[in-house]
Amino acid sequence: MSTLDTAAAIAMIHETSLRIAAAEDELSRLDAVAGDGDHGVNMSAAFRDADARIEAATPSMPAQVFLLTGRSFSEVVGGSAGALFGAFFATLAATLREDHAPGAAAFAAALDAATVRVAAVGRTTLGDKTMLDALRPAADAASACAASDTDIATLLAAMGEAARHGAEATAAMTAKAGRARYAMTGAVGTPDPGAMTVATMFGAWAEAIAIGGRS
Amino acid sequence: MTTRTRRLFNDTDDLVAEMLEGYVAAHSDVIALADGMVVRARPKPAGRVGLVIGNGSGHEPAMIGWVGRGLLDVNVPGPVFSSPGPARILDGIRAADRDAGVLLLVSSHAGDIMNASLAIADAEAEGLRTQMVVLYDDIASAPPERPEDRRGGPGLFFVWKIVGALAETEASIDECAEMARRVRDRTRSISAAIGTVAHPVSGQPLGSTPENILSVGLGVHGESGSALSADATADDIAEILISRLVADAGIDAGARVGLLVNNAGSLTLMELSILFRGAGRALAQRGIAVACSWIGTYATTLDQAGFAFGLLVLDDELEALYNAPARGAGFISVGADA
Repeated sequence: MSTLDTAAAIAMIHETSLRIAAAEDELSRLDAVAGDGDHGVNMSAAFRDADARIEAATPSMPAQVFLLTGRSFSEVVGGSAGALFGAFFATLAATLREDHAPGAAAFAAALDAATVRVAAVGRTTLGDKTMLDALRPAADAASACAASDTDIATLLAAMGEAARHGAEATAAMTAKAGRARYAMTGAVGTPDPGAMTVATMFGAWAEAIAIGGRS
Repeated sequence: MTTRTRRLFNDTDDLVAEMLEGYVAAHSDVIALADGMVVRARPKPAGRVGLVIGNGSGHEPAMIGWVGRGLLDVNVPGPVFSSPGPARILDGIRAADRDAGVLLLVSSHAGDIMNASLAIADAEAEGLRTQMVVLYDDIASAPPERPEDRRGGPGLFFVWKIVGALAETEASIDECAEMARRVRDRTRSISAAIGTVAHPVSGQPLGSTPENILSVGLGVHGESGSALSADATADDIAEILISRLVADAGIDAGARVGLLVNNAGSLTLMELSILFRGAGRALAQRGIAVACSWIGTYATTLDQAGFAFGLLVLDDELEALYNAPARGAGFISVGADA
């Protein structure tokens, strides 16, 4: 498929809600190492809520799907994860605007804008051991795919791969932002739960499109 | 000591809503529930600055018990240990507005600051006059030369109490914000706890402190700290913590301070009292007088077996505001002269 339509966006969020629910306990366990141990619970609740909102609202554009998802984070979850994932989805929606079927270039640009916004809201830079360490490589992979004119499925697969590598690399980092920075060990040896959520989400996006084969 | 995981809840999805319903019903003479927010049963008059805080649940009686005369106007409780989102905080700002501006007194935690900042941007777009003061006091969380990197702890009750008293008067929002910064800069706290607590929803233990080890420098969400010797007595612990607080704040002999001993959840009053005694002695040895004292359960991490010491360096104005009457569901002061 060369563009990302509304049905694809809905499938991406739905697949994410299933994957995050399955990973809920593991994400909470990672968070408990240096945080308060509720990351998986919160992420799972947010995507479940987003899935329900999307089903009730029957959106007609990808941007509406992402806008509804963002509201689940800023209204239901709260906390830093709520603010950051909320800002991520709100920016995706604001950048895609009324594009009914964005192509690789438009989607990569929106992803880049959303990544920049997350860094600004969280006041973080690469290497701080946050979700940005998964987002930035994924956004860069998307831009590279867009530059070489690949289709959306290939772009999402590359994003998922880049996010997974980025998230795994956070295990070796020392936390410099969020609650984890107060832990004496800086949570070294444990990957950042926010980055792992991003990797799980982008993996689900790639899977949803590969499985669905929508075009 | 094992971490208690059985809690007396109904559906964990509803625990914050059901807690609020019960707590407000039990204190209906002081507070009311408005769209998931705790507000005063009798709002303050127009022309007074509104005070709001949004915070994660799980720290009760903070901050639901801190709404009332001489204290906050509105509290927006979020999910367990998570700040409410910007839309909820904006609702709180609207509810607290009495045409003199609304001040957000935010305890410094990443999510609380992010969500409050987003809410203030939205409030300003609506034409509401708002300000935010970020509050911090926990000396274990960053060195003295980077105070703004420190997180909020129970010492901030000095700020909320004093600014709460000032906001009952016709003081402007700028004066209230300035007072919040002034009290914050004179306040320090440090926390210690034994073992961990289980998150009420996930059941996961918070942090990784081994059983029966006293960990110093814990955050209010159970973030791990550094360990202290297992055979330290209460007096040893009080001396170590007070010496760190006094050194950090640079408090000289002859100073008058407020001393807070806060129960993080499940310490006994016996232990708290012995710790208060030890802290008082440690201060007296340094020629520092305790002029205002506070002991009890003010900010908790569920049923964490831990405590915090908070110190505020007083002056006459701060002492008078500290002693002004206040009435919340979780804190009552009848005033110094009563």
